[in-house]
Amino acid sequence: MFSISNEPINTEELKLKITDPRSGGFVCFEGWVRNHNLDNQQVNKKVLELHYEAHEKLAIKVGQKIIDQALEKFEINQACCCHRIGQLKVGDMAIWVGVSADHRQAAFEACEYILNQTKANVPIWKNEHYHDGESGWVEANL
Amino acid sequence: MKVTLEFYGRLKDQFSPTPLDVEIKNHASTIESVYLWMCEKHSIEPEVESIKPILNDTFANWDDVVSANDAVGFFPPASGG
Repeated sequence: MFSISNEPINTEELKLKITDPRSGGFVCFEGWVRNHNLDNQQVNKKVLELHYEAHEKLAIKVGQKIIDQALEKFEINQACCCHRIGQLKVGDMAIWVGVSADHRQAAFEACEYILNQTKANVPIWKNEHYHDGESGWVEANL
Repeated sequence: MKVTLEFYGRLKDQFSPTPLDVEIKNHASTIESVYLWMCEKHSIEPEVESIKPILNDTFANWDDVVSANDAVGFFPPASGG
């Protein structure tokens, strides 16, 4: 399942969705807002907060397709991804990906696949706001 | 005919932060011709290769023809995560 959330991501709720008695392993990735980043001129900037925006309807459609592809491509049992949108502060969770599988290797690989595909293809965009008052849309960082 | 143009991500800074209602004179306009017209109007270098167009909230092709009251959107490369 792929979802978009305006509220802080509830990881316990998501984890329940991928709990499966067939699974012997669970892998998850949490992406957090860090306090620094290179801007589009490759200058290291102090990040104050981020604003994520999405085309929600197509983001869910594309994201769900990625989850379905992962379920076909890897020997996993369940997979889930949630991306936060709106205003986020340093330390807030922007994305959560969780995968459960019989064995760990497939779960690690599927988790990375879902993350990379989501970053590259799901219509979500990040606008960074810096301590110096400037802001800028971030280019894809794949 | 009236068409609504929607820009996302960094394209909001380049074109418009809110949806734009525009009047298209040529009824055989494609999404690409509308986009190129907007680029010319805003003196912006077109990025047909990297931008994905949508038509009425569905992924579209650049050569799709635009009809009256359509909503045409433009996605820059994604930058989530």
